[in-house]
Formats: sequence, structure tokens, C-alpha cells
Amino acid sequence: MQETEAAAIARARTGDGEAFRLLVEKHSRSVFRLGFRLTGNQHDAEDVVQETFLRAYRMLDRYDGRASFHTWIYRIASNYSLDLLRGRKRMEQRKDEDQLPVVETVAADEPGVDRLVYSTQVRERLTAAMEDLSEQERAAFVLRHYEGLSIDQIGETLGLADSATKNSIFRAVQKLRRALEPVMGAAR
Amino acid sequence: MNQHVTEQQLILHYYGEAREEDVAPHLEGCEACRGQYRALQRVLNAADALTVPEPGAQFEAAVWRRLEASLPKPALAERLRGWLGWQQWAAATAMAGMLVVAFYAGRHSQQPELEPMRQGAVASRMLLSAVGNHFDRSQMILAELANEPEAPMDEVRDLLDANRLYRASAGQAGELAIAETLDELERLLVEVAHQTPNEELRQRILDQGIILKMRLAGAQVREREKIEY
Repeated sequence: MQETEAAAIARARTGDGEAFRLLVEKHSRSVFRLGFRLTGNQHDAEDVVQETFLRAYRMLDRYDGRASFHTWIYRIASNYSLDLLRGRKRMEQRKDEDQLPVVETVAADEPGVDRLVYSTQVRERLTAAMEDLSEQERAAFVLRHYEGLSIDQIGETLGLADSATKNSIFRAVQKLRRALEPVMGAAR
Repeated sequence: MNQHVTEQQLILHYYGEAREEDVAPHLEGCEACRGQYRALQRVLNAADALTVPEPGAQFEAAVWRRLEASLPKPALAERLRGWLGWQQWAAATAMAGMLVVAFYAGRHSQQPELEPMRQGAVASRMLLSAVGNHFDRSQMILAELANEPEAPMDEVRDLLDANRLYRASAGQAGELAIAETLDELERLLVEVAHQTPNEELRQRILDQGIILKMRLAGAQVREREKIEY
């Protein structure tokens, strides 16, 4: 499989559209998922997919094979998503944490708790908390938590040192805890 | 290790990135840290509640269809011609021409003084004309979507492709109000293109008043065409 991908990359570099199509078909779904996690909506996620592969095609000569093609594509997608987020941030007023709906503190395992209401509260808090992360925190957390990349790979993808990558993840997790623990009951 | 483990170590432990000799043995013997770790696990497990919509079976093909048209290839024109209907093709060609004209109007200012201004006006007029037609077409397709049992999905996808072109062109030309209206339309079209329209979606199209918005936007563009040119 790996050989097939390497061959497709080599052929795509010579302008072979069909070869590039194989790469697009193999990776577009995961790029969409990453774009959605990073931007938070389908419209932007589709933009991320298009722009990522367009940029990849133009920069194919610069791909040196040191990182996997998947990591390289993720780097392009992450950078473009971060650009979108920064642009969006400039245009929109940030949502104030105080605007979060006031919810009663409930414990998940409390008898009689309406599970549906509970999970809706968790999801709402989670969505708001994710939007409240800085671009770097969000990207590092998404790549670690949802995409399963190692600290090394995340650093490589985002162009960060190990310590900066770890700190971004720590800060993201701390913010998520602050947002979620009030609705999830006592932390300990 | 007698000292309690830190939150950072617990986070790394959760993701399998901690030095396990520092964390795992301590957790075994320390109820307080196990409690901390359980609390962390609950939050991080809850983070999995954020799901991503799964694109349809034709997603990859659709991505390629749009992408292929944008790739720099000699056969691009031929591919685009098949990809868009002749009307959209004509409009998209006009748009591309407009951008080229606008570009040269800005760059080659050694031309006689009036020339760049005239070229800029032509480019703006072409944009307004193309976008006006696009609003009219959108209005018709949305009305069909809201009222007909059979949704014109091919037309919706073509409309979405064309919309992306126009939105980008309007943004580049500084026509921000038009770009914003096209952006709103695009969000709806993306949604429609990924599901078979149902009653709820039809009702939403009617409730949002987007058909009326398209009509007004088209009328405004035509009015500007008359006044400005």
C-alpha cells in the first residue's frame, strides 16, 4: 500500500492527474474530518479539503518524503484551517464564556437524571469550550485527541517544539476541564 | 516515587505519552491521584461526544470533480466545459476575463489615463451582470427545491460550484455585500448537496426567506448596473 502511494506521488509530480486523484481519494475524508474538528463547521471543512489538495498539488515538488504523505497533507490542512480561524476571529466577536447557558450541576450517575439533557449540556459546553481555545491549542488538542498523532508528529505538523506542543495540549485540556466539570459533577 | 503526579503527567499518561515508570506505579498505590485521573478521564472521554458528520458515499468523487477543474492543466478548459452547463461556463469565463482585465488595468498604468478606469468599469459591470444571472438562477432552483418532490440535485451541485467562483470573485473585487449573500447561499447549498432534501429542509428554505433574498439581491444588482453604467 505504501509503495502504491509512493508511486502515485512520483507520477503525480510529473503531472499525472489520475495519480493525484488516487491521493485525493485516499486522504480527502480524513482531511474533511480534521477540517471539521478545527473549524467547527461543514462549510469551512469543505473549503479546507479543496484548498489543501490544491496547495498540495502546487507544492508536490517540495514534498521530500521525510514525513509521511498523510502528515504532510495534515500540515497543509492544519495551516489553512488556522488561517481560516484567525480570519474568522478578526471578523467575529468572540463568544463570551458568560454567555454560556446557566445549567444546574448534575452528576452523570445520579439517579433520575435525564441523560439526554445531560449529554446536550455536555455537548454545548464542549462546543463552546473548543471555540474558546486559541488556534494553536485547538489544533494541538484536535491532532492529539481526535487524530491520534503523537507529540512529535504534532510538533512537526504545526512547526512547534515538543515543549510548546505539550503546553498547548495541557492548556486545552485545562480549559475543557473548567468548562465541563461543572456539568459533570464534582471532579473528585 | 512518593510525590503525587502532576496534571500534566496524567494528561500524557492518558495519551500514552508519559514516562510510564513515573506514573503507572504511583497510580497503583495512590488513591488521591487515581481520583484525579478518573476525573480527567471523564472529561476527555466526554470530548468524544463531538462528532463529525460523515460525508456521503460520493464525497471523494465530488472533491475530485471540483478540484480537477482548479488544477493547472492544459485541458482545463475542456474539462470545465463539461463540468458546468454552457450558461455557467459563459458566466465563469466572463468572470475569469474580468479578473484578467482588472489585473492588467491595475498593472499596466502606462496606458492612456482613461483606459484603466474604463477597463475597471467593464470588469465591475461584468461581475454585476454574471452575479445577477446567478441570483436569478439560484432563486429558481431554490423555489424548485422548496416546492417540488424531485430535487434537482445535479443543478444544485453545479450551482454550488459556480457559487464558489462568484463568491471568490466578489470578495476579490471588494464587493463585500455580494460576497456575504453568496456565502449565505453557499452554506445552504453545501447542506442540500449532502442530503436528499426532506420536509424539514424545505420548510427551512421557506422560513429563512432565502428565495426572497435572492430575488432582492438580483434586483439590487440590476439596479446598480443601470445606475452605475
